[in-house]
Amino acid sequence: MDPLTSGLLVVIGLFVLMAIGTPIAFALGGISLIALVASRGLPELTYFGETFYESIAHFGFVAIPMFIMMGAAVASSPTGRDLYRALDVWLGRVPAGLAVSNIGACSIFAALSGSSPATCAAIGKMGIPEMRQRGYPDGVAAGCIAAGGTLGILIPPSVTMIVYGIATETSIGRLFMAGVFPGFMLAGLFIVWTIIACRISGGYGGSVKAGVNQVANNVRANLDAIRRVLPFLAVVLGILFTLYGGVATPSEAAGAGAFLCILLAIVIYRMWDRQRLQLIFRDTLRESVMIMLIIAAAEIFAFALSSLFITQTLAEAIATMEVNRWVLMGIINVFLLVAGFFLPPVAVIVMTAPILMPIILNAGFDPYWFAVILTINLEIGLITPPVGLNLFIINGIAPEISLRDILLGSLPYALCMVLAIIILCFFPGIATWLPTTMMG
Amino acid sequence: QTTLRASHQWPGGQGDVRDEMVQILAREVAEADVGLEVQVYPGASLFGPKEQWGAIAQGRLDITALPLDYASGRHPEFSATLMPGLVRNHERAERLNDSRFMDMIKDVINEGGARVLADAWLAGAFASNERCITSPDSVEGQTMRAAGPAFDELLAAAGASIASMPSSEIYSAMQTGVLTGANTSSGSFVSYRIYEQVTCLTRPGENALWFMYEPILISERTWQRLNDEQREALMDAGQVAEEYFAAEAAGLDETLVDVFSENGVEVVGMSSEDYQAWLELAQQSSYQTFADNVPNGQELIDAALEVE
Amino acid sequence: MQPSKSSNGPATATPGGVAAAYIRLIDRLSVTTAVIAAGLLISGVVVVCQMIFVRYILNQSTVWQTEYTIYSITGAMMLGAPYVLLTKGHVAVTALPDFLGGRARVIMLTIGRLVGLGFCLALTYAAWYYVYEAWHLGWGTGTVWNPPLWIPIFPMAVAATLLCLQYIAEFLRGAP
Ligand code: NA
Ligand code: NA
Repeated sequence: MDPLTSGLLVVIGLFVLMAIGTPIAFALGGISLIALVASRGLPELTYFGETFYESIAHFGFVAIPMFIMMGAAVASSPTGRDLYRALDVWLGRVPAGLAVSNIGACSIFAALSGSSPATCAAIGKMGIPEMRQRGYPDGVAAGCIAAGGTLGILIPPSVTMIVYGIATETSIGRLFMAGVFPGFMLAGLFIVWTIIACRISGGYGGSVKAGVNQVANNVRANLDAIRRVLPFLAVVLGILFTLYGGVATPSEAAGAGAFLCILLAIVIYRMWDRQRLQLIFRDTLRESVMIMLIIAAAEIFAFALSSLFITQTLAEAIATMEVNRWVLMGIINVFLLVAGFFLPPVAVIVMTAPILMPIILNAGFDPYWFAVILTINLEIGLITPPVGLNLFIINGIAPEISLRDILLGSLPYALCMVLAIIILCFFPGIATWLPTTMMG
Repeated sequence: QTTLRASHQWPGGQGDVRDEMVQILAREVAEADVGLEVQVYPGASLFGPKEQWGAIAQGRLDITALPLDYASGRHPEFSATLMPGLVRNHERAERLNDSRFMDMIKDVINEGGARVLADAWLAGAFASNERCITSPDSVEGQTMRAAGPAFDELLAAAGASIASMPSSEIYSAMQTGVLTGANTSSGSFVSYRIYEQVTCLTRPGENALWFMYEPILISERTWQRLNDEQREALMDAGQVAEEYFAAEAAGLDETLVDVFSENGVEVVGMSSEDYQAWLELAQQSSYQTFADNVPNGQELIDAALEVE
Repeated sequence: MQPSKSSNGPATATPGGVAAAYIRLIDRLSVTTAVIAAGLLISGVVVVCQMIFVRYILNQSTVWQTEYTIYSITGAMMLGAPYVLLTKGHVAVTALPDFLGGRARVIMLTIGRLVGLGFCLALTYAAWYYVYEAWHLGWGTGTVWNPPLWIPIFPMAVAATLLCLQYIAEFLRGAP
């Protein structure tokens, strides 16, 4: 069988398995194992243990559960609430203030956590009920949290950037730096749309009338809140500093970050009771196991594609296409967008990086700039069906908001992301300036 | 038409000597026209660097080029192929290839389920940003990254601290002072631009401590499936690849010296006395451990040292 | 689209008798391995911090820390998998079955589970074979530290086995 036919069969098989509700990790692993055994015989099954273990036994991947632990420590402390209150006092009086605060809180929390669903859950738990209570439309409430949460993988630290760095042998510290300004730019675009959306739906989120007393109290509470959030932000800045300075590897920085954040949660928020600590570790374990199993399965899938010579055939076919590099970039974007609809970000990166990387480099694109483009594409996938991890989270937090409202509320934010990709194509410096300036 | 899959970890099509060796093997076999085709998977695009030996032994992979030391967890004898001071220089490496030492190593390779198509010994160097590394005294107090357990042990015995990390991290580790010295292959020193971070290079010349064996292997199971004509074609192709490598190996070291001196790095060599001092230290550290842990360890070391 | 709802613990009614006892036992085992996994995770974080201290502050050799961290974290990720299955945390796309509803949904989800079980059975066989090979042939990891290889890969075999048992428990619990 020629590689392209077998590739097509594998992809169809994967879709069928996923469509009937097989967990994504087992669907990826199962179809790959079938393809391997069918093409190369039973030894592929017998020696599968080593292949599976080696797919994730890598010092770089160690950083993933640790950055997730860091986020979980912050999330289970009242930091989210504090952040939120602080922003609310500042922004409560501007139009759509509360919704804007939510996106701000998401951006800051994104800097504390490596994962998008975690960011979405941490801020959404407070943000959505509060917004609904103050009369914001369901669509805006759900949409701004779903979209704001996606910043978790663009603003460093980022689980997907780690996977990209390992898959393409690029510097993870540099990748983190590349995400900073695009992350804030995207947050800005989200804010602009949120204000417009509130206007359109009838001027929701007007200023809150507050008495003088209340403002004074608020300011005091605000300062208090900031004081308690600052140490966490200091840890994050410390981590970024050690990473861009090349002082520590990402895994070392992640380990220290996780340790310090748990320590801070215990010290500042006095979370020394067993139950709350247990909660941190349970959340960390659940999310990181889910992600790591998908990574392992995606690695197996990539191995199967390579073993069947599908990767090489595809890469060569694309490389020999005589098209303008921006047309090529357009095609790649559409491809990533479609892949992101169906697969979680880490899976898309593991599966496509070996094919895309040589093409990107050949066409003269910067691999760090491309990482940002790739990440934003995959962020879109987080808020679009059928596999939109952030949509699942919102649905879990606020089951009373209809799926239709969540989807319609999120869609404009997906368009903001498309706009961000276009802006980045015209001004690549937004992504490349910081890493170049800081790391030479 | 039989297709054999060849895997290695180095970048493909960018002039890496080890990639070129495998490509030459593939070209020669194709030209022999014996119904055999070699498909090369460079850059660890099929199996990971450390999975290759297992895949060869299991018959899942046909051909590989790899640092044999990677398989020393399964065959501890292979540590002898990244053992300080056993090789010394390229001329001696060629004599070593036909010695009792290599016969013993190749016996272990064969028992493990593989067969050697081409020999290749790669030289490496030391570099430091603290002081030139010549005698054992010169590493005392330095923090070193060394490739391989035997070197770690020797350097530790000489009074250095060891930090284990992949060679891709040497650059930033030196930049931030985590390392003061490093030890890796000539090629890696150049490709990771280590010259930007060091003040002194100890070139691999007459007396090089660091040599690593990176042969091209074929799986025994694959070998048994081939006919005589195909086997002969593979052996001949392996010979061509080996000769190509032998001619290039010294050139790698020259490039290293050129690039480093162009960038203002002091380049020194190791004297015979320094070399002997290292050997004596090795006798008490890494050789000793190797002899203790590996059944015929002492015999292997003696066999390597007895080569003229 | 119904995965990773943050529901914890098994849902739906449980059957009685032997099946119920089996389900209770397996659930408890999955929770136990999850606790071990959390312990490994914490130990990995602590060892990384210790490594940073030894390497950057004391300027001394760090020989085993990197390797230990890889093994403990990878082991934790494997051992946490049955618990994640128990608490329905593995992401799946159930949009199509949910849309179709009724018998079609039950059939689809059952096949989906069988595929999952099939993969876990294959992994169980392969993982135990790998452990057996590593143990029987006395393989090490080939580093200075060089611990026996079967120790770090043992959690994978345990986790794969428990995943199969947990899948069977999910079948016994009924309700796809
Ligand atoms: Na983040
Ligand atoms: Na999606």
